[in-house]
Amino acid sequence: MFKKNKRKKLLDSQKSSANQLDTKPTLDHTLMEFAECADLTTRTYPEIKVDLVFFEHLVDDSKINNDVFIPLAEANQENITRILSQSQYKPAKDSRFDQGYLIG
Amino acid sequence: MIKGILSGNVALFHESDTYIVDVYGPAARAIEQSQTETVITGPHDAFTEQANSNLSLIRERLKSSHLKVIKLEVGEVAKSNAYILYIKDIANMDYVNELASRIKAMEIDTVYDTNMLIQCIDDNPSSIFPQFISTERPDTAVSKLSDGKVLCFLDGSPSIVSVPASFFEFFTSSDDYYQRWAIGSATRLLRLVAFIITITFTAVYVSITTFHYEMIPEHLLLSLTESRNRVPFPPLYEALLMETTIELLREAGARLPTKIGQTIGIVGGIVIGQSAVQAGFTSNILVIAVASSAIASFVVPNYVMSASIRLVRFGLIILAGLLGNFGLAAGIAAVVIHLSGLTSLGSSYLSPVAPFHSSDWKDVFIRAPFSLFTRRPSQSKSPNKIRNKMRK
Repeated sequence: MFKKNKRKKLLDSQKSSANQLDTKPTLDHTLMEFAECADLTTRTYPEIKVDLVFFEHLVDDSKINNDVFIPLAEANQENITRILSQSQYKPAKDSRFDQGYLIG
Repeated sequence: MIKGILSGNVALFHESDTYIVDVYGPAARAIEQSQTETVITGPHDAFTEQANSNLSLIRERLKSSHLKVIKLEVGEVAKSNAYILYIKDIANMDYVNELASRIKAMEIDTVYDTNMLIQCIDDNPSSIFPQFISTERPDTAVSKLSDGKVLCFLDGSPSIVSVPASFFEFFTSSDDYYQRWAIGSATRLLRLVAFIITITFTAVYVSITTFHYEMIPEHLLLSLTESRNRVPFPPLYEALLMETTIELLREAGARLPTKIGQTIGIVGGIVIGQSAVQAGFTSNILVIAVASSAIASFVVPNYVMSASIRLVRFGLIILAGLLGNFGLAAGIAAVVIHLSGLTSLGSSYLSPVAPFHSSDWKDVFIRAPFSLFTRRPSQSKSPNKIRNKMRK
């Protein structure tokens, strides 16, 4: 009985590990995670293929203007990579994605 | 990244890359005066619910690279941020590590306030006495840091706690340090007298009027007998009735808006007190005893300690009513034994009285001149015991 339970737990953990490996910090995944969150704000810049996701009530208006909106408003296809290399834009990784690697 | 968005960051998606931009800055309450720790002289600003604002208030006063901040996550569901602050080379790292490990080991869904957090990590959760001293004042927090204490607070709470704490620390106020030392010392002694009045005055009245009439001077005995003549209840019931009424008034006053609270205080204190005596519900001497105890309990600067003392008072009244002076003495002895057994982050709660450290007494029962404050409190177990010196 004990062995059976242990085996079931092991299988479950392997399944969840596999699911975690599929998890990537993508726009779809983020929007899915925040589904039914009416207070979530999304903005799209189709010309430069940029999407923003944030909670408006948690951000500082002047900071978001200076660090995000103004630079993106001035961006185009050519300079977007250079703009995103500025220090305020930190490459993100999903913690569960990291965990996926750590558990094999 | 999900956590980043929940923490006020912007998630930026560009083709297959994702970026996080820190633009955190939610609507915040302005820095205001503390409602629970008012001072006459000295700074009036108080902590707010914003961790960044609280950290800035401390950093403004403590411009030292030795001030270190550890950030931890608390609560399985809420995932609030808890901060531990200490001055490197002044604070004992054993305390820092112990505090951090206790916070990490917490198993709780949500924590909303620092005072809730400390109840999950204190040494003796069943004790009614607080073992961590909380403050809303940045100047107090900084003075604790320079004493070698470790601070801890939760994002979303205006209270910061310092550890290890001593029982006698709860009777100190920032005002003591902003006034001349003699005045500060007198005020501090007054608070300790107020503590004794709070826990014993009503209990002594009950004990004497129930069992020990021989202790009352003859001329006072007549007026006491006269005032108790119409009262139908034994002194124990009479005292419990009045103490409960005072607690009801205090609770109502605390929960209502300031102006209504004041009215409740006047109505309760004057009208009900006077009417109760006239109706023969209570003696006027007991009204004086209960009112004096209530006023004395508010002299204790720390609200949590004040509430604990008021609860102890009820126990002592019951013991005095059942067993007289013996019961009162036994109750006080039990409180002292309980206090002796308490620890704050492993350090003795009755320090510097037990264990005895005479050098610390300069800032316990009195507030000695600053020139005599040469050593940090022994309870801090600071690696840098001498004040005014910083290791490079």
